[in-house]
Amino acid sequence: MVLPRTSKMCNVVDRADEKVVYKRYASLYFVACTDRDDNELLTMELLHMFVEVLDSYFGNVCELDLIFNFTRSYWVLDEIFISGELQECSKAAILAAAQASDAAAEPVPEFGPRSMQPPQSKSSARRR
Amino acid sequence: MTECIKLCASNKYNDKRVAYLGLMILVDETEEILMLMTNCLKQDLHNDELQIVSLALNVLGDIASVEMVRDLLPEIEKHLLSQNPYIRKKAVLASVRAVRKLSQEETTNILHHMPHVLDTSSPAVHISVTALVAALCRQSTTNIVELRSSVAPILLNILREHLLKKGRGSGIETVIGGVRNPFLQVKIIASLRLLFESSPPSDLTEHLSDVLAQVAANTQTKKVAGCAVLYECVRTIVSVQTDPSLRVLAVETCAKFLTHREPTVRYIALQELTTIIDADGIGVLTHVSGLKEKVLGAMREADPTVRKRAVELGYRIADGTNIEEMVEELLAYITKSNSHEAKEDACWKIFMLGDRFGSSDVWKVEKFVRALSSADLSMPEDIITSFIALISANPEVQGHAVLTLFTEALAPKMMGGLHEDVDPFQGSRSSNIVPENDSGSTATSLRKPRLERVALYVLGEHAEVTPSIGLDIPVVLNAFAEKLQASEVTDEPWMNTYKPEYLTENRILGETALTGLVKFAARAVCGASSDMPESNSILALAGPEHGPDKDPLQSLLAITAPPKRKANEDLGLGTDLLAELGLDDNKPKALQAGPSSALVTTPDLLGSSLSGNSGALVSLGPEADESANPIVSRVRQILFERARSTDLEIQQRACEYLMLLNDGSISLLASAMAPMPPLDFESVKERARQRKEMRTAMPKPQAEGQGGLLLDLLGDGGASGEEPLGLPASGGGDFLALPSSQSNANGTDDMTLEDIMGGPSQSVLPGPSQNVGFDLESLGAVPTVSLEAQASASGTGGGSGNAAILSTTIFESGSLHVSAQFYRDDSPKSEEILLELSFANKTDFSMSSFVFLLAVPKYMKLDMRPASASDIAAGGKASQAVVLSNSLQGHKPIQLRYRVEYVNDSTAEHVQEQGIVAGLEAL
Repeated sequence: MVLPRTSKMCNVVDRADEKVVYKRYASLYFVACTDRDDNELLTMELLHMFVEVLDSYFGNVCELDLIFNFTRSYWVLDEIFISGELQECSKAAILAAAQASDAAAEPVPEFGPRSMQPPQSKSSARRR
Repeated sequence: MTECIKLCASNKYNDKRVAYLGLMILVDETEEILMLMTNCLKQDLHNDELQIVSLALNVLGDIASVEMVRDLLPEIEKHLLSQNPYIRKKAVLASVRAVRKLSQEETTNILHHMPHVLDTSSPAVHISVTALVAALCRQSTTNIVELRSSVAPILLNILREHLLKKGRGSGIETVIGGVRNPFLQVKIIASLRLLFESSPPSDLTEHLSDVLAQVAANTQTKKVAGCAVLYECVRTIVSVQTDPSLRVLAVETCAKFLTHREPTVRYIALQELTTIIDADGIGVLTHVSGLKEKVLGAMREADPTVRKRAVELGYRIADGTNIEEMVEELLAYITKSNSHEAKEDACWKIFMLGDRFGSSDVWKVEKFVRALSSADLSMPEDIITSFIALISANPEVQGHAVLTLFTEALAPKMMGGLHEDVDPFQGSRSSNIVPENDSGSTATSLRKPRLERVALYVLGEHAEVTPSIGLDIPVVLNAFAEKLQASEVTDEPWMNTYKPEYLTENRILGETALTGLVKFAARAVCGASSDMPESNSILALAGPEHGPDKDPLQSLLAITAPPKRKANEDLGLGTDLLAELGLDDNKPKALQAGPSSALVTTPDLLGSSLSGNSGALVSLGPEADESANPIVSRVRQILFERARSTDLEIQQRACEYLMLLNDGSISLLASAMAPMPPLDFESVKERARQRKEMRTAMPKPQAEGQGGLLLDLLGDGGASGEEPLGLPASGGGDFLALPSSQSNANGTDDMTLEDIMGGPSQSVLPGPSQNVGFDLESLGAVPTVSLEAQASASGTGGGSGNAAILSTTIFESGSLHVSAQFYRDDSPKSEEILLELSFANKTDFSMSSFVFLLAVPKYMKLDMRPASASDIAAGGKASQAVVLSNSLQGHKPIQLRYRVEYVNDSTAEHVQEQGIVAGLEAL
């Protein structure tokens, strides 16, 4: 649905009772599914924030980081959203929380890429 | 998953983290296995380790089921008041889930905690609380009232302070695109909107207006973040009763958005302006200049999402001055867009606009034909009906309509034919049954069955105008022949995409073409015999054209020699024909339907049709020679081809029409083929509109499919006598054709005879009055056929009754009547059955809180759509759609129990009835 769209098109696509808001970073698409009455522009900002946080968390994030450390990116995501609602808007706070919980844990066992990966190398932040 | 559950119980933080993540990804709340976690989560929530508590709250917020939330509510509430903002915000979001899952009574504590929860400086907590506010607002309206007094002032203060904090931002403060924490601003404004949406103006709304004005003044539109905040402001201004000057500000902001370079912002502007117009009327836009041009520009954008909004908005701002441009854009939009819904929608818009602002009927005809040409299959039937009514009611546009439709639908291909010097009267080239692949595929993109159908119908119905617009009769006849030919093609690759649609469409096209053709001929022939000046000119026009090269016998020979491949089939059908006609001869019923003169010729015709099949045409000779009129002979020739059609309905009609065309029955022909009485355009239009509104108000379930459509059409034709030809008649035809063709295959003698008897005797005389009667009859017959009859039919006919529609009364009392209609899509094995319930209040008082419930056994699934109303006025009606699916179709019968509940408004008495729905064995 998102892939055939050109960069000149808007970042919102209708989908049944929901909207799909997406943002493209090089070859990576970040896709969020929102309610009909959500603020699309804000969702775009949130996606951007998520990417920025990932960027500083991994240090210049790339696709491979997300694939091989999908657990970590999910944890970061968990620090931003709970059940589709925004919980933290400060990048520094998110980062701190994510790193604190990493520190509390021993080195994470490495999971290889598995079937539950985000589809088509997209990291999908599904909101409700 | 079990691994995850085991890991949850581990003492190591790391294990827990992985386990919970795995659960959140793998499991959703419906899994029973989650229950095993409740205890584990409880322990974690009491853990001293901050990280573990937060983890548990995360899980709760993300995937907790109703039972889990209920069990763990005390813990959530405890953490709501935690001093640590990190824990508090997670507890807030966990309680969002609790509020969504649980009832109002169970979550009152959360409501009371709200002011305390907000008592913090952490923006993260504030943001989380806004989500909780939204959830509480959705839970109940009493919550809104309470929150309005308890929480709204605090939120307003937070927002105001936030605005005043200029320049004092600390390190963790988020600034995006020059806007201080847009997230917080947007979220607070949004929750304030929810709180004040339905409230009367008060001090607080004034405060709100002030703050909104401040926000709007302090925010730049350059960056997306700023737009997000402003967008939220605009939405709030529109839905809350605010100051008029603020509304102007809102419209201006939107207008500014329209030229933003970010497409998403433009999209939002279009959408928001549409909402504003819906709320405040078109007047609010008067002080924004150049808006219309911008909207028209947006309709041309490449992005379908944006275009859709632009069309919505454009439709609303259209008026007498810009209607022309607007319709042009809509037409372009139809051509450009790919989705069926979008096209259909645009068709409606053109129709409505044309109706409201259209300058003349000629203009309307013009636009309609163009819309039909570009939308074709997406053009709603209702609009077509209205259009036909428009033409039939206005004689002055008929000529124009016929000409436009002819050029649009039929002429292009005719041109090709003429260039190749194919004599119209020897159009045998097009009669070779299977078109070559090349020509087939070029024709594919051009095929527009619905347009063709309308064209053919209008041509037949208003044939008397043909000479005045300079159409050659032979050319027209050839067009008919070609379309008939095309309507028989069912296996071209391009059809696969929309196969079912094209098949029905094709069939209807064929039937319409046949009737149109005969009507056309009837006008020409009968006009001549009654010495009407117009028709004389038809003859005069037609005469010289084909006089010299007329050799009907020869062309007949060329055409009727059947391709070998089909010989067997044809023979079989010929026998059918024999049976039909033979029966007609013996049936008094048929005699009553038409003067005996029509039947005298039967053996003649029969002989010819049979001999045609065997390749010898001897007996046809005299018949063709008899008719001096070249039009008739050509028509007969075309019909003759169709008399061998593999489609039973078409074959039948062709034979009947052939009989009508015999010289002896000219007078009969004239009366049978008399034009439809003009339709009342206004009422047809009104009905079309109502139906559309009904459809948008109560979206029809997908499963309904063809059955619903047919029923719909039948209902129209029968109820009103309005007849956009082909539609109701063919609808009825399908019902008739179905059992007869099936029983043919089964070879059960009695059924076959009966069905065929029923078929021709009803439609021997397809005149207008007869058609209506026929529809009424079939309409009446279908629903009133008792269940027993259906059951026995399916018994003897080898299950042929399976696809039939059943209707039954579920419940009947002095005050209430509940009836149901069952139908399912074509395949008799289909598990899904659509059930349309209708409730009629027979009393003098209104019923409120009306609820109809159904229960099914375990092997069935039940999907009840919302009822059209929960209150039924005195004497009023309501309806409800239900989709049943029987997973053991064929093994176990469908069983239903029902319960009806309502409150008698006059006595406030609560009535409840229940029982078993009987007579469903046949399903």
